[in-house]
Amino acid sequence: MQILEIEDLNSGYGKVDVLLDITFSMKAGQCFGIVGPNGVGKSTLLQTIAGAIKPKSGSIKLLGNEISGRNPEDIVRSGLALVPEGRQIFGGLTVMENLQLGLTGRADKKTSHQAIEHVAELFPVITTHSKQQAGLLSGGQQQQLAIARALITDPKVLLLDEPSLGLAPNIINNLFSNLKRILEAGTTLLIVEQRANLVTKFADEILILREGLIQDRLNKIDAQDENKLKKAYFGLGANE
Amino acid sequence: MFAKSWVKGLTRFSFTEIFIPLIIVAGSSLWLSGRSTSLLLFIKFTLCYLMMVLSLQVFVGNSGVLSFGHGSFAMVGAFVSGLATAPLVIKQHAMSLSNLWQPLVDFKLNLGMSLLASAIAGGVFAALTGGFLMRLNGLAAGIATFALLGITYNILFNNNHIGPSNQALPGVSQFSSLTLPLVLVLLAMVLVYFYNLSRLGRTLRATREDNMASRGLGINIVRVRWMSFMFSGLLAGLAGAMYAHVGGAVQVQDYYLGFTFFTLAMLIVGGSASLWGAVLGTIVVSGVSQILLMWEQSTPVLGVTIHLPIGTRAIVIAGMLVVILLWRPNGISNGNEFKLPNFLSKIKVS
Repeated sequence: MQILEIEDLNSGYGKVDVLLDITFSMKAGQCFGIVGPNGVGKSTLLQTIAGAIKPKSGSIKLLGNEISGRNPEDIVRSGLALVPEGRQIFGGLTVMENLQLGLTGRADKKTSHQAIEHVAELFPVITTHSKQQAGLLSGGQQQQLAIARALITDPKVLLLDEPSLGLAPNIINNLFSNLKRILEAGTTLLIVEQRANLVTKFADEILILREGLIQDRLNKIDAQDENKLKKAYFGLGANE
Repeated sequence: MFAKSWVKGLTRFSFTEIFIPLIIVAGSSLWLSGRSTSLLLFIKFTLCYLMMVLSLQVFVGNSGVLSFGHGSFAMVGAFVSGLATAPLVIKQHAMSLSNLWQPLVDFKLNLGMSLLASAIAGGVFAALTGGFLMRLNGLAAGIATFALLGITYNILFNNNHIGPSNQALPGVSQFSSLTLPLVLVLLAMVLVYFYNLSRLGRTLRATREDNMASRGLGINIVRVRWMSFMFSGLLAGLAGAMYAHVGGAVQVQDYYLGFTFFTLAMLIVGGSASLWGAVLGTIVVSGVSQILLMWEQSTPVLGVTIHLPIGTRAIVIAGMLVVILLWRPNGISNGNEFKLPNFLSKIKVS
């Protein structure tokens, strides 16, 4: 069953077109990675899917329902959450308060406490630093909180924008092993990542984005072939 | 188990954060008011200002959206309470009320009910106007609330069918003692403190920190702001009514630019992000203002007389505002609730 279907999606800022006819679809429980150089529209794609940017044309379907052009608050209630680049945690609020805000977008309020326990198990920082001001957490802890807060909304599809940005290597490894657990639990993941090798390990497909277009698609096996990945990334053709 | 308490819990509740400000407001009000009748009047007016600053803290402090429009709700509250408690003979015979709409002439409530009616009127007016205003952000929102203040003022100032227009409405029943205004303010402080801790208050603070991230968590910013605006309108309506019942008259000019500037200055000087900031700002600005006013009138303060030119008070308060914004933008409280000094906390623990 297709959980997320993007068809001929065009998006941008004012008169500037950033995304051009983006088309792909994902099945439930899949993980896709989106890689590409800076400024090619990776973040714009995630923000357009999440409703933060209104698309110029095209279709975005979540579980078969059209969500294109809807408000972000409606989209998150439909089951799609975004962990934005830079985390955007509420630094003035405590860790606990940040998580409580995530409950706003949760459709099933009755299971809220189970959801909190689930994310606390994934990210122990939530219990150990629960009363600490979120702005005082380290970068890695903030990223864990941002993901936990998004998970609290009970997303069927979780979008992550550069989750490794600014993190130390050991923190990154820990973070991606947690993402793997989230994926194994059945959440569909769409990850934008500059460091392509981080997502190739467990992504079902890698989309190479350049100049606003999906220039190449690599399956799991091809994506783990460093040469093929490099060629696709730099536009030399994946199969050369 | 911990997760269940997280879902519902008032995450930051601290007894001292609410209890000490209550003690300070109640204690200082009772102590000062017993010293002279002029101080009693000063305390009563200060309590009205504190109610208004609490109203501003609920909305401005939590949402980060500057509102110049809360004077409108105070005006409406004052008019409702004033017209409800002014004696019939005044409403029938005062020159300023000769064109008053007949149902308003017949409108009569006791003091308690009139205060309730004024709070409801302020809340309803805020709810009606907030439906449009809360869709705006930043500078546009501030300007729109200023427009609301101007519109309300001009309607009330120029229309003698719904009030005394540019004249004063005399004979408004006055608070016979400090008890009622003090109890109302203490109750409002408790409400505002718990509002700030509540899910709604927390959500509004999140929208202040990051608009887009809030929406990404499913928060409907317009609705959250609107609910807060309504609650703060209710408190502003009550503040306006209290002001009328302290002065014994209603005059729309009393709630316009000077009132707006003065109460916003109190909020900013104290720190808009906390109840303690609202209390501190009101105490500091009211105190400084009263001392300067007395010196402008060449009246001694604690035996000291300084002859100051008229207008010094406004200049000094504006200067305080600039100094605070430059060197302590989160106000004297730094945006924090009341905390015991470290050495006292240690004594408490040991």
